[in-house]
Amino acid sequence: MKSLRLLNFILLPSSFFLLFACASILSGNDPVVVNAERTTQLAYDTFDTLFTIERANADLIKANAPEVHAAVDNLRRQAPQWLATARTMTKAYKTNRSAENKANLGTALAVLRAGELEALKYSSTVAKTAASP
Amino acid sequence: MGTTAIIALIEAAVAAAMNLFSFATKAAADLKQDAELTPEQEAKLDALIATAPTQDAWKPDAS
Repeated sequence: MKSLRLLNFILLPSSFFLLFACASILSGNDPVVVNAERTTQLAYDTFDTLFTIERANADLIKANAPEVHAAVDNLRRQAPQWLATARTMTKAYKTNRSAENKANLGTALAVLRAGELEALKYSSTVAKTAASP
Repeated sequence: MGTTAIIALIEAAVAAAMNLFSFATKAAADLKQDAELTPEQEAKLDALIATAPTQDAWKPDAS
């Protein structure tokens, strides 16, 4: 369990550090749009990785950490909608870069990031359970 | 623990590590984005998101 906590300790801050490793935005591009698109792509990849690993080790996860399997399944149900909403709000903002659309986009991205953080939290647990049943 | 079980364990660990490495590579590429997506890139991202629920790994258990 100590090594699991250590994995969580390393993985979560590392994901935040990655955010600061973003490339600077080229002149002429709206930072709001670029960050929204980056966030959406990264969230998709995070979910895809978690779901793939968990599915590949589903029997082990269900047997040893059923609450994790249930939580990941819950993410499976919600992630597509979070991603789709983030894209819809991004496109709405690109069409009309109003304060209201910017706020709506911000809300959609906050929801998406919260889901992504939860996915990151479970990623280390799933990987650890898969490696040491 | 028998040899077969140990080998299965190692294979699972390697597969998980490879998935995580693949994620790190994709994440690094995502963060390198420095301009708004082109229409083609947007279409590709939208297609990925739209078809995600049809992928086996994305399907929740039927319950």
